Amino acid sequence: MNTESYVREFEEIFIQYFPKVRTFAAILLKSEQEAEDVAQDIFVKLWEQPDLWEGDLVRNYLYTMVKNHVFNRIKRKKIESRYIQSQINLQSLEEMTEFKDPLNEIYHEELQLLLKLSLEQMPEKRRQVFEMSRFQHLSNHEIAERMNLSVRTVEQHLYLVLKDLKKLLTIAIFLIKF
Amino acid sequence: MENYFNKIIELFVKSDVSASSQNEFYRWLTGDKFSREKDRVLRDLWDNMAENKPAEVSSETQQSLHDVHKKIRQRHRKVNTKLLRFWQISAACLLIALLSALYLTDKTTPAAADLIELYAPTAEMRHLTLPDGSEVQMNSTATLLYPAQFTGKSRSVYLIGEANFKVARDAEKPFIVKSSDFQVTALGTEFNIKAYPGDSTLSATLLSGSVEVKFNHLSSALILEPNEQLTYNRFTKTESLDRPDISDVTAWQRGELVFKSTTLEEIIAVLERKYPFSFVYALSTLKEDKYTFRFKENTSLPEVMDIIVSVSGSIQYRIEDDTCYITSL
Repeated sequence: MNTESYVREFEEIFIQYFPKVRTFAAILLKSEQEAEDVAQDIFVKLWEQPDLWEGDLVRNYLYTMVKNHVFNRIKRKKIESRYIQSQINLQSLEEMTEFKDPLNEIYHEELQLLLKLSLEQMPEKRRQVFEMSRFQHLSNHEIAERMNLSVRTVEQHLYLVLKDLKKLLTIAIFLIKF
Repeated sequence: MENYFNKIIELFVKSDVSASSQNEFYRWLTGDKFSREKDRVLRDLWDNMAENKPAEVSSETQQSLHDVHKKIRQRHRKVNTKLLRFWQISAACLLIALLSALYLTDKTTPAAADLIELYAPTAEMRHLTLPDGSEVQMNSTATLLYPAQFTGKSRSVYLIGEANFKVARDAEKPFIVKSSDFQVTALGTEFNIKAYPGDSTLSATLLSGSVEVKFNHLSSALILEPNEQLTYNRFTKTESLDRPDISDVTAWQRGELVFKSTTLEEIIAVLERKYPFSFVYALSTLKEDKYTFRFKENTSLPEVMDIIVSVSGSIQYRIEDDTCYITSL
């Protein structure tokens, strides 16, 4: 391959895949700058490996590369393994969601994370009410006083949270169960 | 239970998460447990992401491509020293190829690629318009070989010595200048190449547009940006990328003489091309000291030598007929 067609072929692959690699890195790293760095590093390496430049091969290779690069960056961030207030035991999790399953034990970590992430999706007030109720074990009365809400509203908030969580878990489980 | 994994990654990807959730997610994602399941979800995510269509190139992607080319070039500058021996072998091969190409065109295939040779004699310059409208200004003692018609997929010419090229735009047919140690590929652009056989350094300087310099070795191609000069030293076997004063690079075209920290030996090599005199000297009389000079156009040789002699303080000269004798003081 002469230089000219070498450059042209590289640029074609670059244009086709660079945005995808970059976006994939960005949604996991949640940083545009880091994603750009990762994607550029990957393509600098790819330049020297023209034997990998064909369709399926390059797709697989780029996936492996971007995953490894992202994981390496994540590991370098030194994630502290602190236990946070949202940790709740399995039993109360099952109680809350009225969902009991022998597999829950195995997937305890996944359930915890799922709960934490979905709580963050909820409206601020609703999430606060829920955390006071389930993590700080306050009564509905106490919560109503602190939040300056009526007891009825507190109950309503809790009902909506549990409904959401139940729905989330059921959807996540549904396909495996039946 | 892949749905848990799916759901977790989906929630993380689609929403803003708190720093603590992000940490927890990362710990979970990179943890060894269930790594195959997590990989499957990530791969699905990857597979379902759209690829870019060739026609839709955003300016961000263009910028990234530009950055990546730059990084590749910097990387190669580090790697290249290992390839230098290969360079020299390839340079020799290219010369042989060039000579045999000449021989063949001469003897057997006159119709296919009739090469025309243009030589700029000592003390003279030559200006030439190539068949495609590109313009070439040749410095003294430079030789250019070019075809009567550019018939192939590219426009190739061979250069020994120094010349400046203003390339007529033709995106379909790249313009390629081949010289002893490297070749320069351009589309529509202006650049200067200096590759005299006797000189210790060769250089390519881009004035405008964009060119690619290939060192007769596949994996070491560099893309120059305007005002960048690539210099290769045949003796120290090093190369460097500089941003010289462009008016110095093009000075010869205006008849000016510019030397930037140059040894007397190198200066004399240039004077030998520029003036119709033979130089006689013993190498031992020339020290390794480096000098910087700038002479206006039409400066005569005695004027140039007067200044060099007085600055150096260690040599003298005399001119007899068309010979310039340099001796130590």
